[in-house]
Amino acid sequence: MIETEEIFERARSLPLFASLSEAELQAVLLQCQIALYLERKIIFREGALGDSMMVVLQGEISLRCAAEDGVTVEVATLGQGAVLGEMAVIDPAPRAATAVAASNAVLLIMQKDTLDQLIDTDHPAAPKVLRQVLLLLAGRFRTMEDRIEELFDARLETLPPGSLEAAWNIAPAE
Amino acid sequence: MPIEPVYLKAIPLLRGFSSSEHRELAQQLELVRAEPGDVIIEQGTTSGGFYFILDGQVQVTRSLTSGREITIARLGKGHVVGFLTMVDGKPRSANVRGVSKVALAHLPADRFELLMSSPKPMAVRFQRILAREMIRTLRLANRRFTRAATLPLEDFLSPEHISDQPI
Repeated sequence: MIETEEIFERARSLPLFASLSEAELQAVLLQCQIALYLERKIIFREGALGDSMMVVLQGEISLRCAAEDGVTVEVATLGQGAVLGEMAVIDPAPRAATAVAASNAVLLIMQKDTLDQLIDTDHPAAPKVLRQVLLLLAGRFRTMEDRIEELFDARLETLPPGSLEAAWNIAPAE
Repeated sequence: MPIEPVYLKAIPLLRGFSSSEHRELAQQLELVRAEPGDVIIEQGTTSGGFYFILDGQVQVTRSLTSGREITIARLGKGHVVGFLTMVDGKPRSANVRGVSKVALAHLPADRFELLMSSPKPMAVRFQRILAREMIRTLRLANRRFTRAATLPLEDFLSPEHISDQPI
């Protein structure tokens, strides 16, 4: 497993902490947890209230969702550097998927309380971490919009020209 | 023209702000008016800034690769538009047009950037508010994705299924 020095090294190279000074990074990492999950260990369950965000420092994490008839479907595999649960540190809500260690894995965990404390104490790291979380969310949103478009754009050709625009009173493009 | 701080009191997102924080933010904002049909934000560009809708209604549409244009939301007083490009610098993901006469509080890009990088308490609170708004928007997009995958096309795109929540 990785050594303390390497944990710092990997944390330093994460986009999430990229703009932090060395002192700020130390201060933030002191408030985080480093956890080892053995292969097949469940990290969190779909539907459970989440209040922490995690970064994969080593290993692989599998995200699974319950489908119909009790079947679970793998929706993503996350490797080193991937962030999961970032919405929970801003706005806690039930987890959208179950996270399972797909190999032995080391995670950096930041609780919502930690981020709140950075914000409430006017810590200089707060705007920097928030900015990176916002960037991450913006990326996720754009990916989702593209996937929505892919789902139906081709099928749009089956609708008569102008029908959608008429339904919405959109002036034809010039 | 600057904004009267009292207008910001009517914006639910800024409910947690004190009067002095409303004043501080209002100093950064400019009043912008739009007529029905006016383009406030144009998809694919990076111009403009961030807007609070103070009065009136706007329509958010997305121009697709096929050339079709679909409406994804109708927004009104108290909603915000334009934060995605301000956050990541990438082109606008949608068009925003006036449906009625609209009054907006405009935060220009350079001032938005200053607010995003400032460690001042008011600025950091604003950053957290934006992060919450982004998450709400993302959760709505996730639901739209599920609907896009499961509903017949006409139903997915019909006005009855379009949320009046921010996209």
